[in-house]
Amino acid sequence: MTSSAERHVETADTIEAIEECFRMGWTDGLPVVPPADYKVREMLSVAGLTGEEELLNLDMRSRVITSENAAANAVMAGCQAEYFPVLVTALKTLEEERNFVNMAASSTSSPSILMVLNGPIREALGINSRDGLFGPGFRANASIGRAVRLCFMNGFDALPGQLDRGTLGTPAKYTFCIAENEEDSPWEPLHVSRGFQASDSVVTVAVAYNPVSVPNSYGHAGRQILYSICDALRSTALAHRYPAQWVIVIGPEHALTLQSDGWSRTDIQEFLIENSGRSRAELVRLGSKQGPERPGDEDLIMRCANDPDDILIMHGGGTGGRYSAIIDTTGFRIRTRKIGGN
Amino acid sequence: MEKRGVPTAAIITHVFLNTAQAMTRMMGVPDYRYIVAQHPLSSLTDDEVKQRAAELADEVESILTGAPVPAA
Repeated sequence: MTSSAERHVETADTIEAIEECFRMGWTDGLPVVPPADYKVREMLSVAGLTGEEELLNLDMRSRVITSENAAANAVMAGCQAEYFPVLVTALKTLEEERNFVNMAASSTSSPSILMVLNGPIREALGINSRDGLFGPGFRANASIGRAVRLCFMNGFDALPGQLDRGTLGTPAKYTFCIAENEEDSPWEPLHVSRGFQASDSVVTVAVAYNPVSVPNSYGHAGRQILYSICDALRSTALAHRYPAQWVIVIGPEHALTLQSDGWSRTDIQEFLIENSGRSRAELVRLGSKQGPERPGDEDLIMRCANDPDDILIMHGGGTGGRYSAIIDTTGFRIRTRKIGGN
Repeated sequence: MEKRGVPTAAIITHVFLNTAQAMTRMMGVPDYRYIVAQHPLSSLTDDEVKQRAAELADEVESILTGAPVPAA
């Protein structure tokens, strides 16, 4: 990605080095931490890597992100060395289905890379799972997600209007990294529901769109909250991506109501599939599906997902308001991988 | 596809021209030939799509066979 000639630039001071990074075109628009060699080595050392390893190969762009490239971008993003194994695992997970990686680096629909952390690593790295879940204020959330985007921009030339043709872009491209609040959840943690041990530190990776907030302040029953989520599912991108995989973030106050009404994770998944359908005819009339309308389209109900497990239910956010969020995803199969594993 | 020996005619719409140029440069084939159609395509009716395809057919054939485009 970067040649060795570019790696050793002399500057008068740190501020000048930051400006040099702007001149080199290495930033997402915000200042970056200059990738001093010793900081890059520190990252690699924590992950037990040499700098030579190929983490993500995007052959349709003739580009490879090596561990050294990733480490340099992690430094620039503001990561602490301890965060680096999360980035390495996320990049290796994306390598499993490269076509959708290309999508996150180019598509007009503007997807980003969502990372959800579970297990002890949340506490160890200080990854926020509570108030302001998707917002600023937490170094780990901010910098790990930013590192992925810098890898895309610097490694794959995913620059807006050039190779990244995202029509509207999304703030989620700056960073999109959260953790689950497992401790207060009525359900088993997301990663346990996906076959991992509670003691495993894992990252769930999706090529995903921005979160859509679902306010429901006055519903006293779990069913009302779930109908609100169904309404949001139906209108998200006009059901353009039906059937898809989804990440549903249930806020703590909604979770308490659902818990007291006895809703299990499976109950919720099945309810959402059953109650968020839209007829193909309606979608054709709206222009969300390609026409012309065919006989039977009125009764052909498009479902948000094919399988209950395609709806990932997790718990997060703060108390005080009654909000949940839905996140729709591209055709990349959402994957959960142990951090530091293969 | 071409690398795998499958003759290929790529079609882009004109708003993606700078992206196509960047991509072919990146792939090391800056002279790679592709067809530039007028944007947009997705909102055309079926008949309009057929008409557009008919207009581009000669150029597609020319890329696939390496023959020059016949004069209109």
